[in-house]
Amino acid sequence: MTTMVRFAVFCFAICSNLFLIGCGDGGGSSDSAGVSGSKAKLIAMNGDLFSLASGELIRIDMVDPASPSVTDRYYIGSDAQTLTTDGELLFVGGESSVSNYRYSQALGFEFISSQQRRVRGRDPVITDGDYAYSTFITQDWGTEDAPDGIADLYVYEILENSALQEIGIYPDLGYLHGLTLWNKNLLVCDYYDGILHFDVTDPNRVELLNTLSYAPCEDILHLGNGHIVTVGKQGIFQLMPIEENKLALISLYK
Amino acid sequence: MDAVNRDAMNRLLLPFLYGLALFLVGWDFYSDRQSWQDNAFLFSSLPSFVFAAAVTLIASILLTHTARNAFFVALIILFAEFMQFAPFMPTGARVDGLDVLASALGMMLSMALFWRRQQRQTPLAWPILIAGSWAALMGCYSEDLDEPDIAEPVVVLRATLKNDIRMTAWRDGLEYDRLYAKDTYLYGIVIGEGVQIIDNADPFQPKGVNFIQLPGAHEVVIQGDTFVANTYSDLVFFSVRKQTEISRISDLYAYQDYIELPPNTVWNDKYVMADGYVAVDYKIVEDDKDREKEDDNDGALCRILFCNLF
Repeated sequence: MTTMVRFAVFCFAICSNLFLIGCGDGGGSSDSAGVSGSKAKLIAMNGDLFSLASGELIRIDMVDPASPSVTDRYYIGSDAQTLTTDGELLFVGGESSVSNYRYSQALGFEFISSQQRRVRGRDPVITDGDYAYSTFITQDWGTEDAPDGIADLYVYEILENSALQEIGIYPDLGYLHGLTLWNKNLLVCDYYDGILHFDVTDPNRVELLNTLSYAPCEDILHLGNGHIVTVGKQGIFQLMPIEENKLALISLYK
Repeated sequence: MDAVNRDAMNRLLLPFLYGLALFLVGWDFYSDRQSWQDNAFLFSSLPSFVFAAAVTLIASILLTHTARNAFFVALIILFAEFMQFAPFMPTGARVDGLDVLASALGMMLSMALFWRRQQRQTPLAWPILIAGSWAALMGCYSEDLDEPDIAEPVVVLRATLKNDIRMTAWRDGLEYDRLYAKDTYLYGIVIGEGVQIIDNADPFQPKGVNFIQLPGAHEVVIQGDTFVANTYSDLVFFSVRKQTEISRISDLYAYQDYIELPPNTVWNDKYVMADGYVAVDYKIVEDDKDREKEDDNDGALCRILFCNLF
């Protein structure tokens, strides 16, 4: 990498962090929540805390952290594994389904839609509000090529009534864990291969751009402006965009 | 159509078409074989059965010999088995003893059908016998699956756990399972142990800060100044000052049944947890081996013949 490119990445990193600090409060008191990975079962949204346990969606009132309380419980089935949000809707990744729900204090939890598949599980979901992306293990594990199974990437359109509609499948990817979105880039954690970088400009035609071999990859976050952080046994990898749709490693911290 | 052609069609073409239809159904079943094994207990090995039956029927016709000829019977069996395990099959799902038996039954059914057809006899007695064997086999498999293992919780004193929540020095060599980010800090979560704090103000040179020891922790989120971690059955609320001091704010018992048991395992409903304790794990207190001892004297015929073999 040339000195100019290094300098550009450095400036971008500093700006990105200033942006993050600006979102919060400079490291001190802040009302904002942080950034969770797509495998989370516990998330903060609009000042509320939502959790997933034993097949239940739970809302916890923590206005006064000294006396928190569970205010709503909604049974959604033991299939449920991961919880994510786009700000208004809650998306639940199940072992064989992706479902979405709405929460309001007046009505509590409302089921919106569910997409079922005969698959085997591990099922984080990520959404940009218009489309949702999820991974499912569809084939058995235990073979030499795929000791932990083979997963497919599923693409859903979020319709006007907020219901999910499956519009595409990108098959036979690997042992997938978390995933995250950055603009029209979808980054998927593959435990053995690293980060799979997809172009989702047209979600009907998801295109694999390249594989960044920072493996194993357990979880992945987008911190804003293309600043990507992944975690795995090797440590914490951080990447920044050096040009459109192109990420470069800026640090590995063990 | 003359009598010879009609006879040939009757003996070969129709069974071939049946075989082809069966093959397509079998292929479809086979593509989703793992789901059959996991979900359709009574018919869990049906894909193997249907597929073997289809392949055998087609192979019998292609070889145009009757199934009475031992050499061709062997060839057909080899062909059907090869198709079962061939690398180009739709999925490499696990194959267990029941699949092998189901395949054998499927082959026998097709051979019997073909043989009876060649003999111009109504193919009835053999299929009934084989279908009966299938029902007995799958019935005992289903019986096995319907009897779950019994689990009881492993418990510790809640007070002990709470006292273990503390800020400690940075720990080297940890492998993180999850990640959380807030402001200029990253939080590497080690499931069951705690959270490592990383100062990420300069992403080019992150710095380790401290480790929050949180026994049983799975995740952490931060809302405002409040940290929330799910540890075993509780949500723990705490604040962190300058990433060096921790003070517990409150606990909330939120998850009634948070320990996930493996498939076909249930809690012992007679177990009563004492006050002040929290479950941190489970242990199997009665499993298949215990049950086998109980069943030694009163096992059904099918269990003695098949189930205990697998």
